[in-house]
Amino acid sequence: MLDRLGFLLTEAYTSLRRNRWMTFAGVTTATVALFLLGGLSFLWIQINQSAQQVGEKVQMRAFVKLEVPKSELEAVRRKVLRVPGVKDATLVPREQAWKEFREKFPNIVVGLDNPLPDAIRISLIDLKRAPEVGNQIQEIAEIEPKGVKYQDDQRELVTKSLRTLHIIGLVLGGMMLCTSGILIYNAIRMTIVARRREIRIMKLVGASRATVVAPMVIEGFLQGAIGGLFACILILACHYGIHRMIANLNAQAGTSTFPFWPWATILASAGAAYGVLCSVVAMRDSGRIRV
Amino acid sequence: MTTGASFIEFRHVRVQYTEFVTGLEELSLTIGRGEFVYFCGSTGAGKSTALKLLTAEVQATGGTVMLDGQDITRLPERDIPALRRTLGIIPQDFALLSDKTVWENVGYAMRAVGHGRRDVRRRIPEILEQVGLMQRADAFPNELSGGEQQRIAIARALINNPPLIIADEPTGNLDPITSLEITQILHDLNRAGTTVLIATHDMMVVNKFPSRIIKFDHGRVEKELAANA
Repeated sequence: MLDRLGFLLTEAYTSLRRNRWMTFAGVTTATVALFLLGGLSFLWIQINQSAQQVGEKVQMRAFVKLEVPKSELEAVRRKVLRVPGVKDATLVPREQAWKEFREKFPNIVVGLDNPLPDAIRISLIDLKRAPEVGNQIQEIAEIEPKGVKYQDDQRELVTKSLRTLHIIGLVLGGMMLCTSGILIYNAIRMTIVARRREIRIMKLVGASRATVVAPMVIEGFLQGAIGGLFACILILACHYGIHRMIANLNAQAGTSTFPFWPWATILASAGAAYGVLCSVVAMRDSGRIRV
Repeated sequence: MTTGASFIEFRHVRVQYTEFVTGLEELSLTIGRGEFVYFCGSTGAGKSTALKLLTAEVQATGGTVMLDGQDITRLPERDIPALRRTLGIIPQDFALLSDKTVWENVGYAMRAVGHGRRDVRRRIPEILEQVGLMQRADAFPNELSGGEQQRIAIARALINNPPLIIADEPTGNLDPITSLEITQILHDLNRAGTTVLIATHDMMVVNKFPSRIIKFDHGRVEKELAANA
C-alpha cells in the first residue's frame, strides 16, 4: 500500500516539477483566492463578534431636566427602574459625569462650566426592546425631551459594514477562485499532454484507470492545499500586522490571537477539494485519459 | 509452435470507423493457442484494426471477438485494463520514456500495473536477460540502437507473463539484420508457448521465419497460408 502510494506521489511530483511555471501560477492564484475568501471570512467573523460585544455594551442614558432638584433624582431613578425591560438603573450626577469628561478630554474643557445634566445609566434585559423601553422612559416627566440616548446608530453601522464586507468577499474571492480554477485546470491539461507517453504506456500494459488518473488528482490536490496553506500564512501575517498597527495607535487596544491551525486546516481542505475538482474536470475533458 | 485449441476467434467481425471508412468487413478467423501468425497486407488493409480489436483499442461494429473463451467484443471500459494485463503489446514506435534507463522503462511499466519494488528488482533481470539487454540496463534509449530500443518494448510487453503477444509492425523502423534479430526473439517466445500475432509487410522477415500468414486486403482476408505451406 505504502509502496503504491510512493509510486503515485512520485508521479505527481514529477508532473509538478515538469510544469513548474504552470504549477506556480496555479498555486499563486489559489493562494490569492483563498486569502481573499479566508481573510474576509475571518474579518467578517471578527466584526460579527465585536458587533455582539457592542450589543452587550449598549447602555441607555436618560438625561434628567436641569430644573429637577438633587433630592428628587433618586425618585426619578426608581421610576426608571420600574419601566418594564429595564434591568438596572444607576444615577450619574452631573458633577461625576463632568469629572469623567474632563479626565478624558482635558484640552477641550479648559475654561468651560459644567454643561452636563444629571443622568441615569440604564442597562436592559432585552436589547431588541431598546426602542420600546426608550419611549416609555421618555414619557417620565423629569426626563429631558429627546433625552433618552442609546447606541443604535453604532449597531446599524456595524451591520452595514458586515453586509458590505460579505459582498466584497464573495465578488473578489469568487473572481479569484474562478481564475485559479482555470489555471489549475490548464496545469492539469498541460500535465496530460506532457505525460502523454507515460499515460500511453500505462494503458498499454493494463494499468488501472485509478493509477492513470491518481497522479493528476494528487497534483490538483497539492496545488489547492499548498495555496490554502500559503493563504493562511498571509492571513496570519496580515492579522498580526494590523494588530501591531492598532496597538501603536491605541495602547489600550486589546490583543487578539489568530487561530492558525483551524484556519490552515479549513483553507487547505477547501483548496485541496477545489484542486481535485479542477483536475477531475480537466481529465474528463481530455480524450487521452480514456482507455 | 502450433496447437489445435482455439484461442482467438473473430466471428463475422465488422469495423466501421465512419460512414465512408471501413476497417474490417466480415472477418472470420480462428487462431489456436501457441500459434505464430503474421497479419500481412498493405497499409489500410485491416491488419492493425484486427489487432486493435484484441487490445480493445477499437470496438467492433458487428460480429464477435473471442479471446481465450471470453467475449471481448464490447468490453466495458472498466474491464479493459484487466484484459490488457493478459496481453503483451508491442507498438511500432516503441513508446519508450527517453528520460528513463532501460531498467527504469521496464520498471515503470511494472510499477504502473501494481508490482512492488521488490518484485521489480527480482523480475527485471530475468526479463532483460530474455531479450538480451541485461548488459545495457543502465543505458538511456537515445544511447541505444533501434533494435535495442525495440527489445525494451518487448521486455516491457513481457512484464505480465502474457500468453499472447501482439506486435504491430515490430520491424517497421529497423534495418534487415535487426529485424531478423527482433523476429528471432519473438520466435523464441513462441517456442516457449506464447501465442504471437505480428502485423507486418516485411516479407523478408516472413520468408526467413515461415509461419501461418493471413493476408488482408480492403478489410477482408484475401488469402491464408498455413505455416507449412
